[in-house]
Amino acid sequence: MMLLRDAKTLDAYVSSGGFSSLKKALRMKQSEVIKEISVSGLVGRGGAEFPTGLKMKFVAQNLSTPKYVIANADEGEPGTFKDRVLMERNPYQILEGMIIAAYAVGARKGFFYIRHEYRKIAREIEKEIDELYSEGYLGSNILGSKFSFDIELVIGAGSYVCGEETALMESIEGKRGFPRIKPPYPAQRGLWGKPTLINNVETLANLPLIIELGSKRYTELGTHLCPGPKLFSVSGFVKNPGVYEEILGKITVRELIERAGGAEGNLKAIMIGGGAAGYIVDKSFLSMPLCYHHARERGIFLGTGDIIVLNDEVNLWKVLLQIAKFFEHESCGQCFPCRYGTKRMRELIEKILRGEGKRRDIERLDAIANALKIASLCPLGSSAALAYESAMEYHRDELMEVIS
Amino acid sequence: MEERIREIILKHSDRDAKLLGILHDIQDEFGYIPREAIDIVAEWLSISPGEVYDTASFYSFFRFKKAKHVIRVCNGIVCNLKGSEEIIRAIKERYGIKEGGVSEDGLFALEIVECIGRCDGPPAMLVDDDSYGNLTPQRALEILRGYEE
Repeated sequence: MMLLRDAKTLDAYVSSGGFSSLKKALRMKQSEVIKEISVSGLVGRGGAEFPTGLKMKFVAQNLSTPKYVIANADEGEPGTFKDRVLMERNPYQILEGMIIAAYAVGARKGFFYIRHEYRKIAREIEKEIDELYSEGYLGSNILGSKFSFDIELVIGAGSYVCGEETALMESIEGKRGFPRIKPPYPAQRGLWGKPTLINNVETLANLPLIIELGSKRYTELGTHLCPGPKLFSVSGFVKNPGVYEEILGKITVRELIERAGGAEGNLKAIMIGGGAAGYIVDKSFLSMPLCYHHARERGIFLGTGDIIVLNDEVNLWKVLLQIAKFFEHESCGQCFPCRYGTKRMRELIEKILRGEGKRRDIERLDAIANALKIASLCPLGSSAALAYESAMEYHRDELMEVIS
Repeated sequence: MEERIREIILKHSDRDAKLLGILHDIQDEFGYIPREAIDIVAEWLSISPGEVYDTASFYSFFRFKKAKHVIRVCNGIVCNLKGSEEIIRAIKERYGIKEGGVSEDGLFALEIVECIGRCDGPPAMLVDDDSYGNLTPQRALEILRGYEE
């Protein structure tokens, strides 16, 4: 286990090799650290799959100062709880990764943004940050080097869209969590208009690993298409729901579900990628290796790494209604396609569940799904119809049974 | 109240990210965000009360009605599949609260919320900052009884 090991105290973390990567990184040139991360092939673990090294390079190359680093622990995707478990079990590895990232891009200030639903964990993280100050891992001249770095903890206040990087920055700035139009990207103009590196906490926890192993050995862990470990949140109708750490590409969807004790009842459908901004697929995906590349080849994304198992007792229209309600509630209301589109989707699905669904309603849903995709301002709107569209692709016969 | 709010604001004076933290502390202190607090915060941060309210009202966590404890029942996709609606129904009946409302004695506020990241133990709920999983209607009511004093 490379991410999910239990190191809840600083002593436990340091005695199992913790912070040796930071020491090593501080002896390297900043550009060498970024090169290691780039060569490792690490991509963002929050769902967007953007190459982490490239993001770091953009921030490092920007001459504007000050620069910021943000750890995104605003885990809000339904069915996702891997960041929570990682923070509970191995928090220092995230903080070490954050310090390494700050050193590499030349940031002196960082923010750890965590959702309020995890306030108890946030209090622990706050204590851990204080501890790192008193042990010389944070503050001025870290470990006797010329590098100084501070971290401030920010607790969110119940908004899914704040997991989106620019909305999160607005939130840190004390405003409502409205996503910004991109470009400019955070590396160009981020927090308070300054170059900002923002990464999911699981992504950050990978950095000490890459520095410790070296990019070559890290890459050899996975397949040549998808290197590194990944945390998967497995839930729904499985016997042992939980977070499972796997090497990308080395295990199939079926094997992962078996590791979680197998399905409860007869497996009918699987939600992959997220419990809202994800895909509802069928049994044919059981043989898919869990790897970004293989997922893309099949037209889906691994997203945050969720697997939600649905059995044959589940009414897929009801699942779609839950998802539609979710998006209607979480739409920030800033752009019209999302604000109105998510509402119309919910109304039409409710009509279908009342037994009044007509073919015309399916056509309407298809049109709304399309509009959401092409016209929404941020990924919340453009992903609001993924579940509906994929369910229609893989479970069309069942969904159309109730349509007259 | 004014004195206490000033103390809270001063506690955040050396931080870059101020407003959310201040609002959290105010809500912890009073159980909600009082109207007067918005004016005081605005004055001290040199922004308009409208701007403070603009932010505070965007986030579903911040409340403008007082309650001693806030129950947040997860109705995310996994909890919903595993019976969260029965939990919600039981709580509504037991305390006579509507969704988004406060019980008559001011003890409990009930909110139906999206995924709280406890999908490994559904259905789940938060009472204030404490999370509880693998609920049945009976177990949920037993837990809440513990908050009645």
